[in-house]
Amino acid sequence: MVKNRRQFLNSLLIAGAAMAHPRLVLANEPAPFSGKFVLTLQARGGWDVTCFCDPKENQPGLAPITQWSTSERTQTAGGIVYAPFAKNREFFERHHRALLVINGVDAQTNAHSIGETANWSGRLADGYPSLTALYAAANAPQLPMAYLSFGAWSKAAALLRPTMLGHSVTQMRGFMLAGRDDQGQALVDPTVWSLIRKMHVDDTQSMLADDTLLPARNRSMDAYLQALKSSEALSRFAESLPSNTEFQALSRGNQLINQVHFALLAFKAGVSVSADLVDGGYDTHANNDAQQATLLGKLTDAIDYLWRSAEQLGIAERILLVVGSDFSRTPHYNSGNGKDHWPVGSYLVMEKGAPFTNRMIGKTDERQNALSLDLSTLNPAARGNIKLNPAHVQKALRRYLNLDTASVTRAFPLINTEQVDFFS
Amino acid sequence: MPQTSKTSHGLFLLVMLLGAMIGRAQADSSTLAFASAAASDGSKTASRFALQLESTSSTGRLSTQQLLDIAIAFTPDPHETDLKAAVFAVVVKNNAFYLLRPDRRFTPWNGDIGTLLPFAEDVTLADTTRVQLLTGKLSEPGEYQIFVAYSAQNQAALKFTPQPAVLLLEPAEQSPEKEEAARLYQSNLERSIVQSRCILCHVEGGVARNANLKFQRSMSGSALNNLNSLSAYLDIAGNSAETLLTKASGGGGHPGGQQIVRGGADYAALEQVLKLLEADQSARLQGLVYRFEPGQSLSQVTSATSLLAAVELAPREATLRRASILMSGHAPSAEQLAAVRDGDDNTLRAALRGLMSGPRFRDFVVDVTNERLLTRGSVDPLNSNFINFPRLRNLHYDTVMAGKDYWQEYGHRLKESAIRASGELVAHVIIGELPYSEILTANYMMMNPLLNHYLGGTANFPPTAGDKDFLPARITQYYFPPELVRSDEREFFGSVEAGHKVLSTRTPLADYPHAGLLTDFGFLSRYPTTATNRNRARARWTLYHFLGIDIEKSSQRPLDEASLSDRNNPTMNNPNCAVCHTVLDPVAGAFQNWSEWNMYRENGYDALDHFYKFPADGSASAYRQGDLWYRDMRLPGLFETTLTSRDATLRELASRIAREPAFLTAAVRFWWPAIFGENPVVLPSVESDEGFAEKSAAYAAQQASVAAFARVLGERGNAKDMLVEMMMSPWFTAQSATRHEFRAVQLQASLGAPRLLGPAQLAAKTLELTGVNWRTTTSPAGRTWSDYENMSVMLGGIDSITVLERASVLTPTILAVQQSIMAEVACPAVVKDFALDENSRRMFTLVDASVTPLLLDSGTFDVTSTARTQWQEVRLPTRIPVEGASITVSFANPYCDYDGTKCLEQRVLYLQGVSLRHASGAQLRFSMNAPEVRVSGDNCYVQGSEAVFYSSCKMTVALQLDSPLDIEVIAHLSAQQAPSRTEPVRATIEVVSQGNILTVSTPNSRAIKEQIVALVADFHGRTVTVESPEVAQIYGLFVVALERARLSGKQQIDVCHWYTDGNFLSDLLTPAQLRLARRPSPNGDWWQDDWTYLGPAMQPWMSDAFGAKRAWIAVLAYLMTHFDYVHE
Repeated sequence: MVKNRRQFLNSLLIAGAAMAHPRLVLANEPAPFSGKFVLTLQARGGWDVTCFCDPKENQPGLAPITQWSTSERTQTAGGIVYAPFAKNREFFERHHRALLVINGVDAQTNAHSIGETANWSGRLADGYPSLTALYAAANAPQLPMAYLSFGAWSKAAALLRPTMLGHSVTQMRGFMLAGRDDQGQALVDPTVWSLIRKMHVDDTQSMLADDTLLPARNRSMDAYLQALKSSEALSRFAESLPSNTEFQALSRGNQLINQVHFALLAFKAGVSVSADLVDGGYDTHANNDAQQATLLGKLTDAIDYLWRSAEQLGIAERILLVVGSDFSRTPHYNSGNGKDHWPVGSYLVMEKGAPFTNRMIGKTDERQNALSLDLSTLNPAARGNIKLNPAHVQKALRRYLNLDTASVTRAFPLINTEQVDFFS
Repeated sequence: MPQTSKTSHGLFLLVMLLGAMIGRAQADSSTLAFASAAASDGSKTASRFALQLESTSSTGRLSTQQLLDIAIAFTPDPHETDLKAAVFAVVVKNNAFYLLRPDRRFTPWNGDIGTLLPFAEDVTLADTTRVQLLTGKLSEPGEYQIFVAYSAQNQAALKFTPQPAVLLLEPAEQSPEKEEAARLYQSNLERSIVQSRCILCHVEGGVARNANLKFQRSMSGSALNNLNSLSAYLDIAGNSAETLLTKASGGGGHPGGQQIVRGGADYAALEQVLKLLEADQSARLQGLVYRFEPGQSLSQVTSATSLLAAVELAPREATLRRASILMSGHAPSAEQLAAVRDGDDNTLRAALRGLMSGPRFRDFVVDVTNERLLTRGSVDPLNSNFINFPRLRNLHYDTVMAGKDYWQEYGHRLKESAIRASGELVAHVIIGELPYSEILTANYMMMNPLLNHYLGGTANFPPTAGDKDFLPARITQYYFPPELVRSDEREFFGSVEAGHKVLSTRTPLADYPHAGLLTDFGFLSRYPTTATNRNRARARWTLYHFLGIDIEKSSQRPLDEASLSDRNNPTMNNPNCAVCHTVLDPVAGAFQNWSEWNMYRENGYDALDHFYKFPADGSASAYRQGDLWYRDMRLPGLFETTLTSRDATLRELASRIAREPAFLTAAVRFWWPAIFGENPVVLPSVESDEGFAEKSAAYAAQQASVAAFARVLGERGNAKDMLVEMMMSPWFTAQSATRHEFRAVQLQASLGAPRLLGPAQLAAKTLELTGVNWRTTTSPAGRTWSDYENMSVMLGGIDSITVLERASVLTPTILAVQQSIMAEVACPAVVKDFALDENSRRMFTLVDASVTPLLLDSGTFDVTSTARTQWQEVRLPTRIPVEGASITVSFANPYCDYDGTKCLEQRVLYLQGVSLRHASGAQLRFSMNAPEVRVSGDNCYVQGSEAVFYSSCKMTVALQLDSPLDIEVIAHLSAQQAPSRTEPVRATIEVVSQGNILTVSTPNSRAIKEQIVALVADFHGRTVTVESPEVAQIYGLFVVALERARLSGKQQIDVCHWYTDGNFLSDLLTPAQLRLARRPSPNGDWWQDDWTYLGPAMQPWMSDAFGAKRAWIAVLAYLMTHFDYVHE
């Protein structure tokens, strides 16, 4: 009897041990993703591009548009002109070769929520996903954190679920080591933990077989099942993450750097392909210049960090970064030295070694009104074909990333929008 | 009357079904006799029943939009004439039974004739008796069975219709007329009439916002939505194309006067569309056929139904459990579940209402309120640099001058208190069943003792009250600067500024103008004002949360920059801007007295910004002394009404908002995601979008429910009424689908979605069920700190600053974090529970830590002998099962005082063997050198027929029997004691079954399975039996974990983060013991453990000689990482 019992238990334990290797029982793992990684960096609130990538100097007889231009002139780095403001010089000098600036993009609104919707989905109305959501859904929806967001405008239109991360992302290492503490010690016997996971998978698959499940319940269970299947990959990724203390030392108060660092490590680990980074506070209705200087400094520091880190990780050539905001700020100061909402703003698009960089497209006049462009040359023209709006940029990005022909994009056409060739 | 199977609650459906009671014009009637009548006592009856139906239809065809009268006409038995009678009616829809109440509303009925109640009493029986049954609309397509009955005075028998009348309604497809109407509307009406004229008033926030006709501003889908608005207008009883044309041309008391000229081109265009819509309406009516068919077999009828009706609702007890976990964190007791199972829907209603009190519910409300208002994202709700609150100012001053950190000492706690106050106010209103409008109109705020002291609150707290105890209080210690004398200079402690000290005070503000949430410090701070924002953020969110107006979305259309470059006060003068600002700015003006620092006229005069009053460029200001608001903005008000108050503007605004019908629907929307787990569907705006039709249908269904819940709230202003009905509705209780054609719409509507528990709910549930307060501690200084909050976003929650929307569906990271937490919780949960006495345990009430499946009997005995030759016997009665057993005698407490080479003193256990004695007197003895005896362990020696045990040794005898046998096991023992130890030598006898551990049935295996059943009920809310496959599976896990523990060779748990349970020590130690176990750190921020005390205390808690604790840890880890644990 004793022998039989032991045999029985041993067979259970062998089964349990097998569960420690998810390949044996869980989903097939697809081939590693080898395409580009796409990031957006969203300056929430409305940045002042006249102090950044669409520099404006004060004009005689007109109300001041920038305070920096009382003592300085617009600067140039390669094919890019910029405002000598905050840490712009360092940034543009270092990165102009990897940079395309698109100015004069009319968001067609001055409401924040609609501005975000327009800039990151390509249309004013709700219902469309972000570029990054489309990209992740088209290329690697099966990855555990295919689409990262740090609280940015990250609508996914039910294509997939963004992995929403907050400031506590710095503590992730300690919370993704399935069944283990942050020192790697097993909190539950590893064999037992594997058996538990197996039971959960079986339970959920069994529940999903019920054809009377309401669709929303089905959706939740399926999400649970997919999450279960991802836990080993996340656990491996967690081991590559810095500790909370290391994160803090890295960022020195600039949370954007933590976001950048986490996203790059996730790309490198093969668990993510797109991310939305975000920093807020750009809604500078009062004391515009001081606040924009601080924020733009953080922003350029973070972008600089992104490219340096990506180089170190060996993925710099695979990164596409899009930087933008809700809209921009008025071409004049209000009574509180602030600036209010102005629909004409800019995008930065960055990629190493791309043919479209080190140049500027789109133009605004001295009062930051968008100028019409000739569609064939993309130069300003008195009788130009188009004025740029976010749909043009998003449509071009879709094509550049081969999303225009992807099946997931079919439900979200950007109609009545010209195809602008920003990226040739 | 019909007997029924168990039914679910569903008043909701029938409330929808009846719709609003409004006036009507009757045009046609039908009468139909029931096929037969019967008496409940089996006697013969001559009674006859008929239903009479009257409607506005003249064709015998009905629509869900037409008014109906349904009456019961019956002829009683002759001898009953002139008697008084009670009359009954039951309607069956979707196999659920509903009883008609005297107020002509329905309540679910369980089919028990003993609970049958009449809807009409004291009806005098005549030859033909007619009693009105229903008056209203049938708004839900589907099949309705109607049973009726009466019971005459002093007559025991009930006369009833054994077969029902069946009313069948089928929906129609969209007609060609509607398609043509859409085409013409798009080309002729949308831009030229609706968007240019009607919408000036008939729009969200417009003058005609409460009219039956409301349009959407121009956007890609507005044409279709607006056409549907016209169609819906015509569907309202009493409305017609002519009515609308009359109003549009200035007649019919149209407050908007003439908008089109009768006979003109616009008139003709509108008329053409309206006529087509009427034709469409008629077509729809044609498609809706009613039949009165007594005895119609349900199985023969195919009827369409709605997305809400095409579901099976959860049993009442499941609803109670979900609600209970959601709102109070705890699982209902077995008695509570039985009560609602055996009761009716009103029992459930009462039980649900009973959940809405107590600290956990308060926390739930606070959490929900924050998810909406985001007050936790406030930066500086109570700024102590201002002198207006002198006590607060001097607290800051004195703290700094004493060399202490104000923020560390008081600032954090005051901020936490201030941002919690909004949720506490909502909780106070709901729990106290005060008018819900008081969340805005309260002439007080909620204060804890800290706020009460420093703001001069009027509350009286008991001395034991802490930071989480809140009471309503009014501020009495607020001063305008002229009423204060402060120190002349700002003072410093070293380089740290202490600021001014208030030296004396005169007269405080007599009537601090509290206005509920509108004057809440957290709310004002979360949406700060600036010189150009001018309270518009505060206004935006006021309109959004309390009137349901999303001002940004209300004008979601392209603007050109030229319109925005207008500098001629565009918010007043530019139509592109005024669209929103007409609604927004008056509300902003109502906040006129509240500064960017959330102070009421902090300078004593106004709250206008400096830049407005004194322009930096030296230009003339529009400001005039005494002004409270900007002259270049609209006057403070709400919609078309200007406020009359200057001082208590928010109080007046609050009372005006509370009178708006939209306040009620906004309240429903405020609570919708908290109860149903998902945000309500937004009206889709682009017709060509994929899923537009499904979203529209989901939106319409939800809006109907929003309106129904709002009506419930409006009846008594009692939020509990509304919350109860929300939880009684299919949106909360839908459990499974009965039909598949509505799947796409149900998905869009998230109908029946399990609610992913947010961080606070997960924390509450885990604490209530396991007793573990995971990584949540209160410092000696009284500050509570929780990783649930720190990890909020990772757990699917919000941070109230950047991440503002809770996750409703799991992501891999959320699950990973949840699983890490639960893996960490499992050990302290098990260890603590087993360390408590049986009566105090939360989970393990059926087993203790020595219960393992195969253990039949065990006993530990003192061996008091002091010399090897001093033999004694210890006895354990037991029953040897047919599958056999092994008998083990082991040394329970070996001890050696080892000096590195030898034991200076030690305990030794000597054995001569065991005897088995039967009641008959027969006895079988096994000496230690018998071949059946095995000895295991280190330092265990057999010496002839005896053995010497120095350490954890054991002897085992295996028995195989042909039949069960009751015997007494006798161990023959002696001992050598350790003189310095007071505890004597101890020996343990165990009798272990040799059956298959997975299939054997022993008292212990049964107890373990019963414990699993109880845990599944508590943790997952499911009823399972000990024989179920689910229990077998979990029991298998238990066995594997037990075996893994045994194979580890360890007698204790070596990895257990007990310290992550903030309640671990306080739950296990008395206050006196706790004082010995830990003491405050020097700065009061944390507890310093004393391991000289805790070490020995911890040893028995972590001891796991049988492996059962580790097995239960595995079971708990499984249960708490299961889908059903993290969803409700």
